[in-house]
Amino acid sequence: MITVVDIGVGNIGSVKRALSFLGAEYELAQEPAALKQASKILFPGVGSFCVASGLLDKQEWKQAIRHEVLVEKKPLFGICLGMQLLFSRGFEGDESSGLDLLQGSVVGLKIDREKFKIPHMGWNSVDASGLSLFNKIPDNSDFYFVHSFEVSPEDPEIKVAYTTYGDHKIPAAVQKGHIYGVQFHPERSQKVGLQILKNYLELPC
Amino acid sequence: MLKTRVIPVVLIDGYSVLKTIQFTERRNQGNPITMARIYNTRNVDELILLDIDASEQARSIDLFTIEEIASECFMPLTVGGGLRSIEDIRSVLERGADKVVLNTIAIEKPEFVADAVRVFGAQCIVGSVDTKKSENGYKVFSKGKVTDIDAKDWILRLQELGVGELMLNSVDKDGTMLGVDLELIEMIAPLVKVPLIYCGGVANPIDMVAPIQKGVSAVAAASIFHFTRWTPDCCKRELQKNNIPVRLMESR
Repeated sequence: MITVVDIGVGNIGSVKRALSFLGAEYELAQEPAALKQASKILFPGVGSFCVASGLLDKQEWKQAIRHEVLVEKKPLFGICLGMQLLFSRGFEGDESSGLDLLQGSVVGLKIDREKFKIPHMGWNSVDASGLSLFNKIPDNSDFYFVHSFEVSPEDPEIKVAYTTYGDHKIPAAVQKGHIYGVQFHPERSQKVGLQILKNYLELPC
Repeated sequence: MLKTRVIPVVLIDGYSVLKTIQFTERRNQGNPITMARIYNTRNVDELILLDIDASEQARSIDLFTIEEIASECFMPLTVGGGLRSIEDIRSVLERGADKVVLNTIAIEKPEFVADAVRVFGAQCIVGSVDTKKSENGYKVFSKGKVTDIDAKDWILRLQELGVGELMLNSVDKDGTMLGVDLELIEMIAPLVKVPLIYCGGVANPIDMVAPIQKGVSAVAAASIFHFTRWTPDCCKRELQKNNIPVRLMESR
């Protein structure tokens, strides 16, 4: 059973609808205890890192998710803000801490703001050969992005796939062992996006 | 590389799709759910769904329509029409919208835009401006009338209020299929720091090229897709010929 974490940030409706469309059974975890039944965890989210960090702390989500992923070895897949929250700390709003499952920080897009618009919004190609979530997806397929912050991984063991905005490379997908994340919205990226979710559903636990 | 979006617009009157000319004369175009399905199979970049009667009829866009579209179309869905409260926005997002368009309420209560940005994030809020040329330059058009608000000032104000994207509609060109309003685009595009969508007057794929070259991030259109043989993909092929990066239909 896949469990979708719902800490109350942003809209997880699209992710739920995509899972239903794929015929997946899922459960919604609105409190940390619900994660115990999970075999796999999906962590979507949009909104501000700092606000989400506060919500993670308030309900003791952090310990619960870390326990399921690090001790119980359950796969975890973070989408958009969910991917950013996998990292140690974020600088959106006040500096705040993430789940610290992946070492690194979340910082404002490192692009020339005079030349390029923020948010990075629209379809952009991802060079992702070798990441298991990208199985059966042609190289350099386009995915839908909308974000103003980017992750900055500090652990060489994190595999990173990039997208290019202007002349800057933005981490678009990360993987370390059974921890996965994508910055784009697979639930909004048509067939290739649905295939990403399908790949995650089909991963062995 | 970030692709330039071509965005079909579906206008509804509450139930049916319609297409206006200069925001008045209307022609019925059928069912919005069917139409969204067609655009979905055409693998479009995004869809904008606007209920153009909602504000005047003091109601909000139909949630069932949004939900039906969102449950089978996995493209970004931008929705507007009569959204007047945080709760209104929350309910369309829950039904599957990704972004919401604020227009009438922004004019009546600008501070609401800032509230919405605070609650849902800038990436979720599109500020939309309908503009019409008058003797004193481009003015904001609202509820069937030209207001005395300067279009340029209003765009800048919405940007200050924190919207994550702006949509610029030319009332003069709407539905005319007489080409885009380049004068308007040249005035507005350089001022805008967030993604800017232009809408109005596109009759041919080639009409989309100049707005992009002038700094627009995405072109939205309706009539060209309702009334001609051109599809969104045809438009993107034309952009590609002009060295503008696009995502073509067969990309999966």
